[in-house]
Amino acid sequence: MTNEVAIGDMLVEIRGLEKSYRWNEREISVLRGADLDIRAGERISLTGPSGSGKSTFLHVLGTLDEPDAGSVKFAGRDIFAKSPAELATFRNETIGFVFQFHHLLPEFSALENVMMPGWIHRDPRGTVERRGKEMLDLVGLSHRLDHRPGELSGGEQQRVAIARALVAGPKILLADEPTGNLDEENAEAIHDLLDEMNQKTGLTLLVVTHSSSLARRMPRRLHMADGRVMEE
Amino acid sequence: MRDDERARRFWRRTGRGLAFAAAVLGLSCGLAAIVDHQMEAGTRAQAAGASLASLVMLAGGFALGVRGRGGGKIPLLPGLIGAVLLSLAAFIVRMFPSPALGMFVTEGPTAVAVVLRTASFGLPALALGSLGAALGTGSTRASLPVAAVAILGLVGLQFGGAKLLLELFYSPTLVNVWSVSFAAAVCLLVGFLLAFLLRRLAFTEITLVALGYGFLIYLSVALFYESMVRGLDVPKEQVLVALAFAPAAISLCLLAVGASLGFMLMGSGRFDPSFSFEMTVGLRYLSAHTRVPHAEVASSAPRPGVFRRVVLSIFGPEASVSVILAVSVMGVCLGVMALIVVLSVMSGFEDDLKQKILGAHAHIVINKKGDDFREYSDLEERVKSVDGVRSAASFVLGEGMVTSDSNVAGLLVKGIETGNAAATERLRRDIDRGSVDFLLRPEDIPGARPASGRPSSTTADTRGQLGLLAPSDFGEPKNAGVESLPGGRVLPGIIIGRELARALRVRVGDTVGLVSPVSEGIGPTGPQPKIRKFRVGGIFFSGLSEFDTKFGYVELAQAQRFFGMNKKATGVELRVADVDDTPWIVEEVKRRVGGHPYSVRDWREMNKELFSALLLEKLAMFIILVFIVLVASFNIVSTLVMIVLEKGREIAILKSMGATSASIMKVFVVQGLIVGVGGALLGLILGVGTCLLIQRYGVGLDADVFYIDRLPVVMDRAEIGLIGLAAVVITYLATIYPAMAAAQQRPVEGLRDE
Repeated sequence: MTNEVAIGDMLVEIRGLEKSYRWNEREISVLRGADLDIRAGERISLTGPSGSGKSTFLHVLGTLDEPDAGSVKFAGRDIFAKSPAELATFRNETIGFVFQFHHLLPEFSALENVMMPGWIHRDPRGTVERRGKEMLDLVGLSHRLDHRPGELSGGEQQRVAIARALVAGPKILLADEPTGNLDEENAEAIHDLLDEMNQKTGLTLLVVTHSSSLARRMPRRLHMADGRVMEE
Repeated sequence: MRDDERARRFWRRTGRGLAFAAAVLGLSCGLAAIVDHQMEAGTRAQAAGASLASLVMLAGGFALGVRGRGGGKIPLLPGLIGAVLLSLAAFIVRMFPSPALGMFVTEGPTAVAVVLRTASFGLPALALGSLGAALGTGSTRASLPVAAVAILGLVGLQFGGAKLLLELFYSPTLVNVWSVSFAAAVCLLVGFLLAFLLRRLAFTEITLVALGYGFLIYLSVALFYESMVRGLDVPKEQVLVALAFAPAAISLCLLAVGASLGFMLMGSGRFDPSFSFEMTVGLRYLSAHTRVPHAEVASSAPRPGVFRRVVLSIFGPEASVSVILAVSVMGVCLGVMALIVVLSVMSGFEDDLKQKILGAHAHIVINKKGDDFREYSDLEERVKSVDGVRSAASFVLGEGMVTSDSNVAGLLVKGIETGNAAATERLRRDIDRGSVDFLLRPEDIPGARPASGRPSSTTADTRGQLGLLAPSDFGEPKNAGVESLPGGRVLPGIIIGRELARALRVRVGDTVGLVSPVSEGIGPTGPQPKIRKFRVGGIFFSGLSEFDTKFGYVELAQAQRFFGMNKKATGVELRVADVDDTPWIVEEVKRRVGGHPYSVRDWREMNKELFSALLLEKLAMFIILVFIVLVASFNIVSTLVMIVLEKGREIAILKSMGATSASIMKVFVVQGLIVGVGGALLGLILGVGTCLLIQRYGVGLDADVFYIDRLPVVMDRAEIGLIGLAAVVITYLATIYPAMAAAQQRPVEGLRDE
């Protein structure tokens, strides 16, 4: 799908992203020409006040939303030139999402949640299960495989979400407030886990956060204001 | 400020609707002209008006569609307003006919005819306006060439194929079968191809194709009505209304089925028939017993038994969706069950009636004009060897009266060839008392009712009173059971129906008198009726009151003598091995006997009214009961819509993980199909089970009212299969909308923080 990208190569080029919503017949401009370059293996934090467009930026970058103008090039290719079906495959293979409210599927066990991307990719069921178990082992939850999200603690749920985001071996992890509703101890553990993944696999990290402690851990810190992205 | 804007928008929309309505009105008047006069001389001006109106209509719709553009939705509402206004206007015009509007004035309009006629303008006008609108909408989004090719392909193949078949085989039946089945198959295929080529649920194109196709069918039939609709005994308006609506609606359904299948299989960019992950997810959503958070803690406690778990999973506190699921399944199940049971019982009645009629009547009757049918045995031989004919027998049929000690009744006397075993098979089965063979050997008929205390002298008395026979016949016969005619001959036998026997109060062995209307000679008081005495040799019960009260069977020779038809027969009746082969056999029999003076009729022809009434009744019942399934399918729609709304976030998560729209659609189609197929299967089992129970144990009926003592049930495999298929197709159609809504949901919608 995408060309192999070595660490340090240009991974994402974002140019002039614009996005606005209609709300009560009023036009709200959320992104006003956001630009950003991301190199493979980078760890980036993105901060900014509520409503500054951080989530929208992340969603557009993750192809969950379409920009009104501007382009997103991934490994040199314009991703919005793809068909919806190709975009879905692109998300499946290249991008991992972690959301603030973990967004696990409540009807499925931890293991099943982690296996879902593999199922969607139509990988053989045995392989998917093995990879899922390995991944949950990696995030330290090998003893909680068959528990539903409702039976897990907040920290455990977020670990499952991270395992799910990483199980397909994505190029980039987009995390939206991954520790927003966790206590400090759990948040710290999640941060450690993300760093570890970055070191092990060269995973590119883009983390939207309010937490200054998490932001401080990232080598590259960005700030979002006025619908633009600025280096801090 | 905002109110101002809103008001302005409202008036703008209403104005648009009115303009559209005016266009529709103009067009439909033109259409009426075409339909009414079929472009005959003197209507050229009207035809020109019609063409102009059509153009305005299409253009107006097109403009609306281009302007409307809102999310590719086709602005059907203005068209609807237009059609309603048009119908009203046409209605009023029809109520007050004026010479100025010559085309509206026809002979005495009834309310129904007026409504039908206005609808026959309004519906195609609506279709045409919508077509224009769809074209306009599509011009920005849809693939118009694909849709156009699809329409032309559909119409061309249907008419071309029909024409070719007509040229090659000249079989109208074949052409009809072709038109219907082929159009259905091609609709499915076109829908599939549209989804495949465009890689999306091509709904605009589907609507375009359905409307265009429906309209072309309507137009061609309206223009060439006389040559296309032949031998159809339905008012023209009804045909046109049906045509303005049915082809578009049916092809829309089929196209939607085809397109949704195509989208699900090809929508992810490659052929992906796998349902594995979608099945897992869909099933989990349906079962939806999310465990309570602390269930694991309590797992040391004894698990509830299987039964309790099943009950809990359906009605327990955690089973909110499952209850709805159960209700949906029950809805489909009840509909299917009702259809099967009711139609089986109706088939049972029909079959019972058919059996009785076929049993009592001949399957094919050959008559001859005039009254000199002497060559009957020759003819009998000729048709006996036709393939499928089991028996051929000559008969004599005549009217007469029958008298007993206590009563008199009219009856039809039928002379039959008792010796012909195959011809009398049915009668032999229906015999309740006595035997058919007594007709041949009347001397074997057992004696008259010993219990009555009156020996056979009674009959002698009767005879005496009626003055039927020579005085020499008075006196006790030697054999108490057998009465002799003068010269030692035995009284011939007669077999009568149970009802008639009851009315006459006679039993086997009793003597009755047959009175013929044909006079034998002149007596002292004028023409003397011909009277013969017969002994009751058997009593039959066919269950068909017409026969049980009116028929008497005697030996052929006796009947010939009685009616004075020496060596002549009324006709030859044939029984066939398989009644379903009758049409072909009739043709062959006709060929062998030649035409005039012989006439050949089969049982369908002889009982045409009865069977067509039965068929109509059954069709009406089927349509009514299909509505149960339709209602049940709305249940499925609401259940699925609820699940889709409830699972908005999960759909977004699945999409963020890379699930394609086709996959999401599959997830919900799987759920709908589980309900539909599950309900249909359950209904099938329950329906067939109920039928079997009725068959096995019977439901008693009041024999005096229904002339049948238990509820008859006949299960037709094809019928039951059709019911199951119809239920599954309807439920599948029901799943398309919610599944599509789920598939088209944008992931960000579900991910917004609450």
